[in-house]
Amino acid sequence: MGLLSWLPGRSRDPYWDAFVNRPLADPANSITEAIRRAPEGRIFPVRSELPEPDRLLQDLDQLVTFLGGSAIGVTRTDPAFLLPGDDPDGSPGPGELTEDHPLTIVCAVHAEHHPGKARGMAGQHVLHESASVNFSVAAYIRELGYRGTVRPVDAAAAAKAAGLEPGRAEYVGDAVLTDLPLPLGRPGS
Amino acid sequence: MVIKDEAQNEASTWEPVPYLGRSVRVVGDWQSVDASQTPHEKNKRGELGKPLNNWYFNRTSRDPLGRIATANSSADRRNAVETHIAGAPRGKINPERTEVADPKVMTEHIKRVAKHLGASDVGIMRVHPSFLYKEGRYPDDGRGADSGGGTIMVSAEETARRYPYAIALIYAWDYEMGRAHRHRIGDAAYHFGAEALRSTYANLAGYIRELGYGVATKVATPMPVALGAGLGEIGRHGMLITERFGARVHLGDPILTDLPLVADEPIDIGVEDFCKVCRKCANTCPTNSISTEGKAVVNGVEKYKINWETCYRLRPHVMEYWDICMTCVAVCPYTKPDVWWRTVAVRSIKWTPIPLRGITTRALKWIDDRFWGKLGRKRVQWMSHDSGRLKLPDGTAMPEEPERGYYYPLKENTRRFDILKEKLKSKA
Repeated sequence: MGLLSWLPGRSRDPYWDAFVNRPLADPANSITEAIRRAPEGRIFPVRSELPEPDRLLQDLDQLVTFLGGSAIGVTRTDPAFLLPGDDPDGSPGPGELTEDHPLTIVCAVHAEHHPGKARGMAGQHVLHESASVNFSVAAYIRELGYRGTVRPVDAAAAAKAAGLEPGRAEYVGDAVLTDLPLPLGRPGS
Repeated sequence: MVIKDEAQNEASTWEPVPYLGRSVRVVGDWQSVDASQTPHEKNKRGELGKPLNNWYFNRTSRDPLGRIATANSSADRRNAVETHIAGAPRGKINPERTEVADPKVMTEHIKRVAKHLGASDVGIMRVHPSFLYKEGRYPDDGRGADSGGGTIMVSAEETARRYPYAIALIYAWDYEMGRAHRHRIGDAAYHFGAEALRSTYANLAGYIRELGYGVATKVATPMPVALGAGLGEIGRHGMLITERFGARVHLGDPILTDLPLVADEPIDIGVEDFCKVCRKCANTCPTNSISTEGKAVVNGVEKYKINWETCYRLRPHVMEYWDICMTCVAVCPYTKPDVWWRTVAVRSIKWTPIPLRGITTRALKWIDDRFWGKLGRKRVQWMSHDSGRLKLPDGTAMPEEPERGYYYPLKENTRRFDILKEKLKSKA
């Protein structure tokens, strides 16, 4: 720890630990939940002309990277890794979801802190990043004229099925379920 | 709930307007900006005519990405994240206030926090009432959540007393994508950058409330705060020019707070000297909205005057092709990637004594013209977009121009409406 204190901004910032680890007194002071629970918009009535599936996946990969994500992978939607949502009564069941959304897009984001351990705003910021990326990917798919919805999943199982191996500094949160014609796996695989 | 403050008519005891750097000079009586008279607000009320009002409220982008990038271009506003950021509930101030023993340490902390949350740079300024909007705050059109606890109507002086510090953040959009300005690629860089900055501001304001301090938003004019906070200088094009990113930055709505902080000082990166000789933005502006002449005094401030109306009126004419012009930003010689040779170039002006800067700026302008061209254009490919191949509204592609990329419409034809009007007037 002695050596670490020489790193820029570490021991000289007495408030940093609280920023990383102290849970928010009012969760509404972060906009993460507002984005996670945001109502989804309509599917654009006119379907866009799509490029080849491989190219389309590369496009999504570029979009995810641009939005701050680190990797993307696609797998078949499996009811086994779908988790109940925050509003289970109003949501379609796993069977219906799987039928209408045959594919699941899993996006990883860079994670400086593990949100399960670091409960402060900095620690939880990765949830915000993940929610923002998933929201925009799903919204983009809807604007292309296809189904795209963000759902909670068993992240480890979904990421593995999608060919992602998130490292220590990566995080996978929810996933995007879609009927967009995409190849399975990672771009270029 | 509207609270009328008793101290509203209190006599002003404020010092003169603070120094904002060399790029602007306060020479007269500076009146606070009336936010209801800013371009978007005038347009919302229909004062700029039907085409512009229609452009603001009724456009739907042809580009699926454009429809999620900004709510105003969307088919369904719920598909744009900015809708949800604006509508997010505001948290409460933490009753357990974090004590600040040394404002300097807290300042460093807040800057580090802002960067962690996504800001490209942060500056702090001591609030002066002149920098606050005349009517207390920016007009609320009812589409976002209010700042919590009702709309507090107090005088600018009282707001400045309650919240003595302003925190200004900037977000630099992607350099390469920004080179495809007047194209959907440049639009994406611009709009998604604005969204990122909005969420950073919202989270930073939330963090300050978590520390137990108050925040006020939508009350300060962004540009003077950014200048006073040392984030950059104002260029001939009326945009903020920063040391690391040039003009490719978003400047959002500053956060005012009572958190004890230490204010920054204005910087001098030679913009005043460079803009005198450069004029690249003025020469390439498609609507001739940027002056090639010297400075003028506007509202008691000596600066380069922009014809905002001709700039603004371009939008409905081009919305089929792109949203945001950004030509002035893209061609500005300060707008370059954040790499070592750029740092050397900017510092060479910065470290030259002011009387000798004419030599340095002319030499750098000559180098910029040789290496980057007089009109900065580059073909950029991103996702399925290609700035060298533009799709027309009927879906057909323009012929490929791989050397320079295609930017529609060019200067000569975006002015055609004005030129036509002028001709008709002179005939009449």
